[in-house]
Amino acid sequence: MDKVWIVMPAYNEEKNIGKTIDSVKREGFNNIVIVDDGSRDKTYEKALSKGVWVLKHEVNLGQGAALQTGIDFALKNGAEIIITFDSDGQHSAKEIKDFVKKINEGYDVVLGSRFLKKNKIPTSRKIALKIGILFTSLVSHIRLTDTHNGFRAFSRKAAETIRIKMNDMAHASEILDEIAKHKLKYAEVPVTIKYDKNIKGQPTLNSIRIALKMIAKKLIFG
Amino acid sequence: MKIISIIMILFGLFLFIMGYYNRRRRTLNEEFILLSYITGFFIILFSLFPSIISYFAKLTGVSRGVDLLTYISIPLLFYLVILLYVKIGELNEKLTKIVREDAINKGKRSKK
Repeated sequence: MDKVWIVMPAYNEEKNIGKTIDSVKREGFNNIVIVDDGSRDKTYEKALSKGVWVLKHEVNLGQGAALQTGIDFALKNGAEIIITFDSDGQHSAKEIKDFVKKINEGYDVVLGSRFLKKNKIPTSRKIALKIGILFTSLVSHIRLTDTHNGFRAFSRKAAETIRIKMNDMAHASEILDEIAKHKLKYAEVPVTIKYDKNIKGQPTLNSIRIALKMIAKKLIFG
Repeated sequence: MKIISIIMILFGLFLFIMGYYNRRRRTLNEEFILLSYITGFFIILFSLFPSIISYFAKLTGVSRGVDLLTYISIPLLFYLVILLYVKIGELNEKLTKIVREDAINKGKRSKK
């Protein structure tokens, strides 16, 4: 547990951050780093009051950038396994141990999949995600059941190999591209996703923008 | 002289002044300052002597001088947009690096 680090990017999450940190701590994980991505609310103060590491981006850069900052910090502090976990309470902390188990079995990257478990997913979201899955299998040549899930685990080797350069939400596709490029050993584990009106998630329209960005990147850089 | 020629001359002069002002304040790249001067010069030249541009238009197979200017300006403006886009990308990369280093160096953990 000492070598497991939980990285949580957060942007304007004052309502959920406290509860999410508590849920992770209850599972026995104490190496938690919150990256406040330039929030305008009390996210920073709330996170700091929970006795975890808090890093602050002075300007809002995007979730991809926040993740890379957290990963860099965890690596610097000797992390062997890095878990990325949404700060809005969408994920279940009880499932972190499944990721750790898989990494210990020898996988480099473990990706959460909401489609391997019974989850109540809004229809519009489901359609956008399915298009994303199809798109990823065509572009990244990676076969997955869920492509845009923020619940992931990286071995130290994988975290050192993958560099997230896309600051915005397109980082999710970029990570998959990197896994394929570096031939990292990956696996999927079923995860629970909570859909709630207090949980922001990612707007469906954003997925289209990300897809277009990835197509452009693929066409230009191959 | 037509009204449009006067307007274009004033615009050309404005580009000159803008170039000069930015050169003094060092707020613009050398290339952009030079581009302001060159564009300003040609705008004034073509406004004063429209026959020059008509001559070049005929030489290149375009019927009117104004058309030739439009054809030239579209790719030129597109190039400038790309240039700015690249510049923004570079700045974004630098900003990310600075913000990240600052966040990691100032990372805090309160005792609970």
